[in-house]
Amino acid sequence: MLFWHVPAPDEALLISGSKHKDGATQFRIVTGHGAFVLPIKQKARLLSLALQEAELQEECVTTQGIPLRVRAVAVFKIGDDPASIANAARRFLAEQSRMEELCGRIFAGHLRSIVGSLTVEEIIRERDKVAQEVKDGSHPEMEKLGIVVDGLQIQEIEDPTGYISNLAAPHAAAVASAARIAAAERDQEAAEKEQQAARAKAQFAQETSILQAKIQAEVQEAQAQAGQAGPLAEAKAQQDVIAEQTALAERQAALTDKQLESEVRRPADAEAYKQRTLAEAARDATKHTTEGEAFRQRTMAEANRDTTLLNTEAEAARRRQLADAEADAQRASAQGAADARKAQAEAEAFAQRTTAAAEADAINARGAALSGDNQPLIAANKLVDMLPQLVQAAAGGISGSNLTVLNGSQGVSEMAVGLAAQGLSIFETLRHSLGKPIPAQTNGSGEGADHTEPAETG
Amino acid sequence: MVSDDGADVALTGRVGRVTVPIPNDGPGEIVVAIRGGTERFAAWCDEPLAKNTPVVIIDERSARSVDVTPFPEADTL
Repeated sequence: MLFWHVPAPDEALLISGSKHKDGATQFRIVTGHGAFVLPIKQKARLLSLALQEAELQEECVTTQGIPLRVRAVAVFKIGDDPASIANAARRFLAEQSRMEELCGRIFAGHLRSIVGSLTVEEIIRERDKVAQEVKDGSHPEMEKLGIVVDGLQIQEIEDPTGYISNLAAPHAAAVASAARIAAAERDQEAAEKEQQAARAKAQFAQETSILQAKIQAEVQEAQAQAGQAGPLAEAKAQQDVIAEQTALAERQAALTDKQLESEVRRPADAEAYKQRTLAEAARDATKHTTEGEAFRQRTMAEANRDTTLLNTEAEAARRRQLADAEADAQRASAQGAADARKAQAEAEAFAQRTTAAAEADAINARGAALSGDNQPLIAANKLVDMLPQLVQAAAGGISGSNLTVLNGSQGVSEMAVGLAAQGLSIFETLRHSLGKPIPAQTNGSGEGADHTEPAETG
Repeated sequence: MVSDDGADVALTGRVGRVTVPIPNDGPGEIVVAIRGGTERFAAWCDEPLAKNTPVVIIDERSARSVDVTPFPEADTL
C-alpha cells in the first residue's frame, strides 16, 4: 500500500518528520512490523541491518618487530539495538553502499594495531588472545559507529623474513626425522616379519614336501603291496588248489591203490596162491609121478637087467663054449697073438675099466648127488648118454654082448655100476675060462644078487 | 528508549555467557539472548573471567557495553 511500509527482518524502517519527546531520537525506528507513513509529512527510509564483509590485507608488524603480511576478513553489521541503529543511521543511511568500504579501511587500521600488540606465536597459536585484542582494539570505535563486529578472522599470514618457517623448522625437522625413524623401524619390522613369513613358508613347504614324499612312499609301498597282494593271493589260491588237488590225487591214489589191491593184487595174490598151490600140487603130482615112473623104470630096469643078465649069462655061456672051442682051436696058432691081444685087451680093459670105474664112480657120485634132487629127467638123460660107453666098456671083453639102454633114475646108475661090475666079472670069468691065471680084480659072480644093495646105498 | 516499539529492552539482569575471556583491564565479550536472537556485547568485569563462564549483566555502560559478574548456577542459553 502506498502509505504502509513494512521493513524486512534485516531492515529497519526509519520514519522522520514527526516530533518526538526530548532525549530521544527525533526519528522513529521501526523493526519487525509495519508502520503507517504520512506521505508528505513523514519520510521513511530503510536501513539494512544485513551482514557485511570487508576483506583486509595489511602489512603489519608484530610486537617483536617482525613484519607480516596479513590477510583477514572482517564481518560486521549494524547492531540491532536502537542506539546502534540510530548511530549507524546517522552516518550511513545515505552511504549504505559504501559502508563496507569505509568500514574496511577503518578495520585495516584496527588490524594493524591488533597485530602490533601480539607476537607471531600468539597470532598463530592463541586465538583467544587474538579475539581479545580484536575486541579491545575495535570495539570502542565500532560501537561509536553503531557497528557490531561479528568476527575478524585472519586468513593468511605471510612471512617475508621466514620467521614462521624458522619457527617451524626445528619442529618440522624433528617430526621429519621421527617420521623417518618410525618409517625405517616399521620397514625393518615389516621386512623381518616378511622374512619370518618366508622362512615359515619355506619350512611349511619343506614339511609339506616331506609329508608328501612320505605319503607318496607309503602310497607306493601300499600300491606295491597291493600289487603284490594280487599275485600273492593268486599264488596262495593256486597253492591251496594244488594242495587240494594233491590231497585229491592222494585220495585217488589211495583209492586206486585200494582198487588195485582189491582188483589186481588180491586176485593176483589169489591167483598166485592158486598157481602156487596148483604148481605145488603139480610138482607133487609130478614128483609122485616121476617117483612112480622112476620106480617103475627102476623095477623094469632091474627086470631088464636081470633079463639081460640072464641073457648075457646064457649068451656068455654059449659063447664061452664057442670061445672055448675057438680058443682051443686058436690056442696053438695064436698064442703070441693071444698074449698080445691079452695084453692089449688087458690094457684096454684096464683103461676102460678105469675109465668106466671113474665114470661109474662119477655117475655114482652124480647119481648119489642127484638122488635127493628133483632133477630126475636130466640126470637120467646124462646117464643114458653115458650108458652105451659104460656098457660098451663093460662088455668089451665079452665082445658083442648086447645091453639094453635103460632110462630111469637111481636104477640106471646102479645098472651102470652093476654092468661095469658084471663086465669085470664076466671078463674075469672069460679070462679064467681061457686058462690064464689072473689076479682076482673083483668079487665073484655071486655078486649079481648083491647089486641091489648099492642102489639103495647110492 | 528511542523507539516506541518493543525493540528497546532492558539488559540489566539478563544472563549471558562469556565468549571472549574477560581480562583484568579490558573488555571481553558475552553473548546474551535478546530480541528473539542472541547478541554480543562487550563486557567488563572486576575479575578475569574464563571462556564459557555464566554471567549476569549488572550494569550497562553503553549501548553495546555491559558490566557483568559471574553467575555460578546459571544454565544459560
